[in-house]
Amino acid sequence: MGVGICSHLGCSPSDKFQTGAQPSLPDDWQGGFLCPCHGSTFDMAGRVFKNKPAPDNLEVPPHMYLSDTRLLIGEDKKA
Amino acid sequence: MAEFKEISPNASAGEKLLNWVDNRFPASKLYKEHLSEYYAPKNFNFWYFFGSLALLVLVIQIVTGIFLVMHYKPEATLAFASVEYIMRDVPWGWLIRYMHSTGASAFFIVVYLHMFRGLIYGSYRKPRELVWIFGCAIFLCLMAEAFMGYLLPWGQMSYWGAQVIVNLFAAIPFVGPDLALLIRGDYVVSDATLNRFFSFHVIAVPLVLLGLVVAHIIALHEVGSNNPDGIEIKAHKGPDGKPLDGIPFHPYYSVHDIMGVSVFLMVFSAIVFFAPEFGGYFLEYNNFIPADPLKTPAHIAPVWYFTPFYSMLRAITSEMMYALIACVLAGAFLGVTKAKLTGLIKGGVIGGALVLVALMLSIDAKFWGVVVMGGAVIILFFLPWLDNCAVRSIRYRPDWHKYLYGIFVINFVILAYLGVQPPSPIGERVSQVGTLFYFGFFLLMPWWSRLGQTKPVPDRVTFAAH
Repeated sequence: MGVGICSHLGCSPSDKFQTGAQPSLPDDWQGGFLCPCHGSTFDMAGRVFKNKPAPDNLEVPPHMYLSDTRLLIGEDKKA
Repeated sequence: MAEFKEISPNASAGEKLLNWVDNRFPASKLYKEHLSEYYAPKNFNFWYFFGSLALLVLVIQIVTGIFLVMHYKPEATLAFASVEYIMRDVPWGWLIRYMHSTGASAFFIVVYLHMFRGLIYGSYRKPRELVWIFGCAIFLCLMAEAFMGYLLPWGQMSYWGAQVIVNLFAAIPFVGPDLALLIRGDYVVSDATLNRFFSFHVIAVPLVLLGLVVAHIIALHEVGSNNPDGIEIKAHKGPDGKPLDGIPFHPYYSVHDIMGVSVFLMVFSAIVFFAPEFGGYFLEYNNFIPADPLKTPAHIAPVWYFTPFYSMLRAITSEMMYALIACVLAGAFLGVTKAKLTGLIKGGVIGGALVLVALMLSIDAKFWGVVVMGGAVIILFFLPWLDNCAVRSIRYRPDWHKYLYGIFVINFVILAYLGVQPPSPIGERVSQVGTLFYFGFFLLMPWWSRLGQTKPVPDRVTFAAH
């Protein structure tokens, strides 16, 4: 669960779920997200890799599961 | 106030009219001061075409811009389609639009060459500092103008380019996010952003730009043009008080510049008619897709003229920050040990460096990337005070200066190339080295420009009559 807006300058990171070497990604790529603007990479959980322009992980919005198949975004139980 | 001049009753109607005007407005005086009796050095070479060409491109941009505004719709749902309407349905609309889009790139080509001329012949040096500063301000305005104009077609590159650049401001500590909101007028780039960028692009920035161009030319005509030899033609005046090495701008350089204009227009028309997209460099392919706020194109890069600065922005990673901190500390150390400063100033240098390092460690690299990108342009303003060479022109500087300027140009081109490419580990390293070289070139100039043996400067300009 994450907001698809890069914490660097606000582009939409694209999904790069395929593992292995590919353009703009390291050879040992494990799958995750790549921001096309400045090359920040994120893992599958939206955590940013070191030494990339993005200063933070992808933001996790407040959310909660209403059931196994229904997700409510914008509220969580604490709120 | 000038004395009221009477004219002979036998004078022709034209002379009488001119006299009537001259008594009320300095028409003849301005014409003489800026054209027929503005003495320019007679040894101008190829590099001196680009000032007049920049003026020509400015006129092309204003005239084509006026006609584009007649048909363009500055509204998020209509903007993209209205540009296509101009391209397909408006009579000659495609020509007007291609002239405007090619004109934008031509403007930067001409201005970069014009700036390079100033750089190699020392045209920024005393007493021409203000000519140079007005010129740098024009360059800054031109970047703002080009950036905001690029949003108007409302294509994918327009949209995401604006998104990235506006978010740069959000990196400023404390006020950043609110500032970005103020610029955007919304939480995302939207109709509000399009409307204000349109307003800035068609009226606000052009007004400032025109004012600065006038200031640039007034300042130039006050101090007189520099020349490839970098010597003052005013040092040798004839009995009539006119510089011996100068010739009136009109008719000599007006005719000379017409040749430059002709060659320029041949190249310009060839691009407008045969390659207006210029392989995706003048009009990027992704910009033919309407803006989609949910999807960033797979590869986004600014238009070519911004890419050297964009490369420098991308070069500032958290790793690079350690290199920059080392540079700050080395600079402070050299300043304290080598420079002849009083104890108080030395203390200030150390204190300043420590504060800067603390800030560099505490604020993230994103902000410093913005500082570096902005600094790369701002540093140009200080050039007149960075250069300590005994002579102005590259012609009479030590030979290795030529190589240094050559490397500077190659470095700038490499940075521009890397800025177009998708990010890569090797590209990142090269752009980091390039960024250090760019800033080293300027920041160390007070030191290196003094080194080496300059060649004897001629008394009069080097000129062979044709």
